[in-house]
Formats: sequence, structure tokens, C-alpha cells
Amino acid sequence: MICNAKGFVISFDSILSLFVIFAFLTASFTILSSADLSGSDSAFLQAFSLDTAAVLHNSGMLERAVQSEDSSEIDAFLNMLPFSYCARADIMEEGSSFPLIVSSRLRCSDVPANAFLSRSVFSSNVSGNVSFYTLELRSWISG
Amino acid sequence: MRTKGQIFSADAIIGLLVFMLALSIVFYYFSQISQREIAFNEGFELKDSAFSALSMVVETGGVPENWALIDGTGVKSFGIAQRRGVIDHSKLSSLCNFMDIDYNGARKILGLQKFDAMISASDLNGDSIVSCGGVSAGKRSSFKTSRLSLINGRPCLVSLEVSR
Repeated sequence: MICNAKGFVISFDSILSLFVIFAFLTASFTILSSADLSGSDSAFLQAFSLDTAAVLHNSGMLERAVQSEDSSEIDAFLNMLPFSYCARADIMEEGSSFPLIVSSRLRCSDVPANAFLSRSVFSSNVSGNVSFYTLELRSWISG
Repeated sequence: MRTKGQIFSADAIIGLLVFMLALSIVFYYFSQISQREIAFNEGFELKDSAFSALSMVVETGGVPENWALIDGTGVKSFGIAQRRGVIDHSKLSSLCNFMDIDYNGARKILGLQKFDAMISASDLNGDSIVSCGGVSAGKRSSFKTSRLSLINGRPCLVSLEVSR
């Protein structure tokens, strides 16, 4: 039989190959679009959190806070920190899990689950007795 | 029937159009992906370089430790920290002097030879303590990162802005 009918030949192979190519390109495009620099943001948060703890230690703010049982100086310091950096400092007496002093930046009272936690120990001379305290500093980027 | 010749029918034209359309879509996708990849890599390089350089400066005392007192050619790395969280103000001033005298050499030691670099320090009220270096004229992209430290007993921000 001789067939003179005209028409397209759309083979299953060609459709499949086109589908695979476009799926590959779309996946690549989506992955590249969603890529962000959160890794370096996380490194910045950790470094800045450790800086904050170091400044609290080296400035004597922690000692003054436990001696006066007053968090206002630490509150003022945290509120002056730039960016959308949020921090909450809990100071506990050695062996206690109950915070003696809680200080946080304004609008930063709700600590997210993924906040970076740094813990350090310091001593203070209170009424002639040297006592040890733990600083727990939770940091995160708000918004 | 055995006839020879070129078939250039509507089928072929439409087929060619479909092929060209598919090819142009593929090229468009590739160019978009390529542009995004370049932007991503440039942004990452900028951020990573700035963060690494500033970390080296504010977390170490430099190599050698007395780099502020020796000839510039002997400086391996800049560091202005007395200890973590405390900056040596005199070393900060020396770093700025070095940048003013030999900007390109300072950038090389900081690992920022591909970028312009500007180092500044200010207290938490925003009052400037020191500023040195430069920002690219007509900069394409820039990134600024800061670290917290004590300078002369005051909490301050030491910042590094890199641009190109």
C-alpha cells in the first residue's frame, strides 16, 4: 500500500527527551534561584554572639549585674547593638538552673528554637565571697 | 516511484520553527542560570572575603605579634586584638596608617587584593573612632560586615566594607 498522506511524526522518544531536558533545566534554575548565603549569615551570627559574650565579660557588666542584681546596664547595652541582631542573656548561679538575672533586647523576648546558644562561666566577688555564675547568651537574627 | 529531490514542505518549516523555539528556550535558560551563578559566586566571594579578613583582624594579634613596630615587608597578617573582645587601639591606628601609606600592600596582606577595602570603627552611638581605606568609585557590588569589641573600655563596632 502506498500512503501519500502528509503529517508530523512525533515520536515518543523525542517527547521524552524534550521533557527530560526541560525538567533538568527547570530543576537547575529552581535550585540556583533558591540558593542563598545563609551559611555566611550563620557564621556572622555565631561570631557576633561570641563577641557580645566577650564584651559582657571584659567590660565587667556581668560582675556589676550580679553584685547589684540589676540587669539595666546589660539591657541598655543589648538595646544599642545594631542590625536585626537579637540576644537574651540569662545569668544563673553555679548549680542552679533558675536564672538570677534575665536581660534581653526590646522586641526580642521570644527566643526561637534555632537561636545560637553560647555558655560561659565567670566569677564575681559578692559580699566578700567569690561565687561562680553561668552566662547563657542566646542570639538570633530577627525578622 | 523513485524520485529524488529536496523536500521543503510546510512540515519541514514548522519542524524547523519548533526546533528553533526549543533551542531559543534552552539558550534563554542557560543564560539565566549562568547569570545567577555568576551573581551568586560574586556575592559569596565578597561576603566570605570580608568576613574572613575582619575575623583575622579582630580575633588575632597579627603575625608577627609586634607587626605594628616593624617594617611593612615583614608583616604576615594584621591583627589588632589584645584578646577576644578587646581591641588594641594603637594597633588599630597602626593598621590605618599602614593602609594610608601602602593601600595595595595592606589589601594583599588582608587577602583582599581583588577588592577595595575600607576599615572603620565607631562606638555604639555611631560616633566614628577611625576610618581608613577606600571604596570603589562606581562600585558594582559591596558588602559590609561588623564585629563587636571593646576599644579603650567602650563597646565599639569594627567594620570592614569591601567593594568592586
